[in-house]
Amino acid sequence: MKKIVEHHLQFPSDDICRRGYGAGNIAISVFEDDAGHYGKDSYKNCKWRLIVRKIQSGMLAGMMFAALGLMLCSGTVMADTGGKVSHPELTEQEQLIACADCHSEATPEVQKEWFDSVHGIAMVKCYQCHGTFGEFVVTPSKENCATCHADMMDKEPNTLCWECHVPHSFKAKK
Amino acid sequence: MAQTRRDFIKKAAALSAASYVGMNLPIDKSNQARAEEGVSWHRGSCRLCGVGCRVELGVKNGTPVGLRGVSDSRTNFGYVCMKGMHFWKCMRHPDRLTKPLYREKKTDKFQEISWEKALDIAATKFAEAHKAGGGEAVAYYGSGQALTEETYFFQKIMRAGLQSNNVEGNPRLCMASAVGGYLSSFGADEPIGGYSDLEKAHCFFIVGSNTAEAHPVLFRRIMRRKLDNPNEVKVINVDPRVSQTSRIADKHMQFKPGTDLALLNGMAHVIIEEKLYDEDFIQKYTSFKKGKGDDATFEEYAAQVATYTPEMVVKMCGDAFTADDVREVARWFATSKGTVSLWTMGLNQRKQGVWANNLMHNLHILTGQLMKDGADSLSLTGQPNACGGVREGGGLCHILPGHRPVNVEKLRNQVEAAWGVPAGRIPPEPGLHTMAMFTAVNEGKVKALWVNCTSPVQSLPNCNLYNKGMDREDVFIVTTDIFHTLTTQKSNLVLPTSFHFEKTGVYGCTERRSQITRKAIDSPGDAKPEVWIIREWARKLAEKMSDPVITQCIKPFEGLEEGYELPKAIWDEYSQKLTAHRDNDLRGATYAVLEQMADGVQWPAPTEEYALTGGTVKKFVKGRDPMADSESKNDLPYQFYGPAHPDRKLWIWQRDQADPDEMPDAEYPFYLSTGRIIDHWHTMSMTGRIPELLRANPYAYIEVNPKDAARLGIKPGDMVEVTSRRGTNLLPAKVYEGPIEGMVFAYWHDQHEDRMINKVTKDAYDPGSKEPEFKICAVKIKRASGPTPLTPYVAG
Repeated sequence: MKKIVEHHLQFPSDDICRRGYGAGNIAISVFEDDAGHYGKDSYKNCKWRLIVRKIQSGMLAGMMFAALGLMLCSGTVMADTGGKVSHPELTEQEQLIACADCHSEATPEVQKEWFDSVHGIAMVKCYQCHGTFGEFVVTPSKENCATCHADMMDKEPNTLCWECHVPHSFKAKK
Repeated sequence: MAQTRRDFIKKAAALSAASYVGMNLPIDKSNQARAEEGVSWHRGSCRLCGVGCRVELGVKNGTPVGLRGVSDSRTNFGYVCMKGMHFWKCMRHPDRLTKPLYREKKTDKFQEISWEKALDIAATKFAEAHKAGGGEAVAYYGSGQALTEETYFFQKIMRAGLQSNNVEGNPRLCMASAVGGYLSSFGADEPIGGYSDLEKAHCFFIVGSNTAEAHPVLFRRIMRRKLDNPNEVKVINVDPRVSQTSRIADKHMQFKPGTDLALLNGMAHVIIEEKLYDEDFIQKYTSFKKGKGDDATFEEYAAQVATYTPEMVVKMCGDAFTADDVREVARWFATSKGTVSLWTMGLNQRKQGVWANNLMHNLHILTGQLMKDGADSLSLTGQPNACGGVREGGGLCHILPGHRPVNVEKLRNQVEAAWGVPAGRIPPEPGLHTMAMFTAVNEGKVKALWVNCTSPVQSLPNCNLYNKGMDREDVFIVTTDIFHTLTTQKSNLVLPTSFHFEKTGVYGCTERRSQITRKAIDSPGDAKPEVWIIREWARKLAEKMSDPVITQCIKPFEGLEEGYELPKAIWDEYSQKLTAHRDNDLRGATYAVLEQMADGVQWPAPTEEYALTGGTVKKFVKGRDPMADSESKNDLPYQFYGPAHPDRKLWIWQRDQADPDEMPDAEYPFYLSTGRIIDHWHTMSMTGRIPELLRANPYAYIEVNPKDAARLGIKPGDMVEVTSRRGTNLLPAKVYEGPIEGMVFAYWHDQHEDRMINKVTKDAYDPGSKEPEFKICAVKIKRASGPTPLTPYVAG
């Protein structure tokens, strides 16, 4: 049996994020599932948040978090049985949530880096580089960058974009 | 066993997944943006907004495989936005319409029919309607997304063939007030400068525009200018709602919706009080006007704006900024080395839309922030060809091609002569403007309506009211489109058309820039270019009506291949015969020239030699605008040769603050405003079919200020009923310090009947421009329930 406990929590930050979280107004329901794991469920149900909550409550194998962290921070690929890079499973409803919504909690540093970058200000969103759920890739293809930066592809045909630019902040590496 | 909330969401999600429409495109179309063996690259314009970004479509074995920006284009320098990056993916979508569809009654199911039969039905119905009620009983409702050749050809058949000026298009809903503003303030439609001013500006005044989402690639240029010069460049964002655009603003000024006229007058007051105006510029180039055009003086104008003290403006606008803010932005505006103002629907979609435009222009005239590099009063266009096709090509009920008012006999005769039709063939009075046209549909006075490339069922304000008319069985509706829309659902005949890059033609964007897109791929199935459809329909029309004048209308185009030769012949007729010596002179912008240019030509461009330089960057400036030289009447460097001001001067207007048509009251206590979101285009019939874009923003939601939400017990994700005197929406809440307290905001792309916000908006319109006041109406809101799983909806 699942035990569902609904709470409305205050988001601790005064920041206002792009989707309207924050400013002390986020509504979160906290629940416990069959295995006794805890998750939190904002108005849009999100697997990433669930993972974070499980980690925070110490009830999920630390290995998964480590793999997730590696995947997002260093570009290491987490492959499924078919060898294809995959995003953690999402329900159909979860697939209809903007990437940045979940990642503002799942990978807040990455989300903030992007949000404050020229891509974030100009609204070049996650899915342009990483694809949407079905075609998700951790390490983007240079082809996607070339949509706007074809001239750089000609200038630096053999250099990967992220050799010179910090991923997500897009600042030049020193 | 009790069902948990999470179980419920999961089950509902599974159910809704099964009913998705438009989600059947496998997500395997990754972009190919670089040269690859077997891939050819075809240059054209982006299909979506009015910026006019140049792109190249990659084609392999006849199939589109990718898209990239054109880096040597002066519109976008290679950059494209989220929509622009992905729009090509709908070209081969399985939902594309590929066969003509017909049903006698709107309650029947569509049947596939042949083109021969489809065109015969269309001709028969229009001929019957014409016989019953003359030109007033037929109507064409087009689009700022149609190619210029298409709009021009449609209106030619309507005006000279069917003797009807019932020629309208969706730009009436977005740009008509800008047209009125430019004509009444500058004497000529369309901006004086353009995008090249952005990199030279020192002050940006962005009002009523969420540029970051509605014109993202231009926003990138403004952002880059600001980030590269953080101290030298000021950005002022004036909007009742904090938006993504506000992120680069030095100062964001929120105000009670509809009170911006007071703010603009207040800025003029400060400029005059502190003597920041350009006295020499005013003396040489300016007239003062009041009322409907009565002469006035500088002193009268100064006295009028003197009543708008900063302190009073603050109160009128809702106490969300200070009097010092008003003074500071007025100083920034007046004293910068170059100020560019940018606006869109926040000023245009208003009952006082023309006045708001006038007041914006007033500030530029007063301070001389015009004609010089880095300064312009720049109305951003919403659609890719609202300017080129509809404003210039004769796509509104009161204007003929080449910026010619219908009601001027001499100008009508010029058009009739160019077409080789008898003088007097074009009716002397303007036809029905959009809201009057759909009112006439409601009343059954329009018997045959052709809707091209737009979806009025969703995009008209107070759409419930007008949808009743479109349901009438005695109103025959033919729709030309690439996908089913909510409007094809109310049509008798649906004709499948070629999409962008499947046909050839010209788009004219915000900055007087015309750019060609050549056919690069074949259309799917039996889809056809509109120019072919018009010609074939008109030939049948001529036969059924036994009217040789209709035959004459298509005579120059008979026998031409529809992919290139036909649109070229239409463009040649339009540009050579109808723009000659007009202020939008496009004679130099031939297909041969346009095909050579990375980014087209800015008019006026009277010769090919001049057009090959790129055309006119700054209108009215001698030495930079050939018409300023050829039309010069004195030694002054600026020559205002526009057709609407006989005194050849810029006009400063006295325009007072005036309320919107509907104000909040005890029963409907909130303002509602609506807008565009970056991931979707208009009614999302295209972008809703692209998974990346659909998933990024699958639903509309209602933005509620946190203070209002707390008062009403509304939490993020709660379902909220939004009700006006005209209709109700049920939308998930986004609690967000975006809209000012007392205001709610909704995006308008969602097609779902519960979330289609134009059921709620108001159809009051500007008395001059006839543009509806989408941006302001009064609503009440209440929490209906907690979060509920929702289903994206795209009509199929």
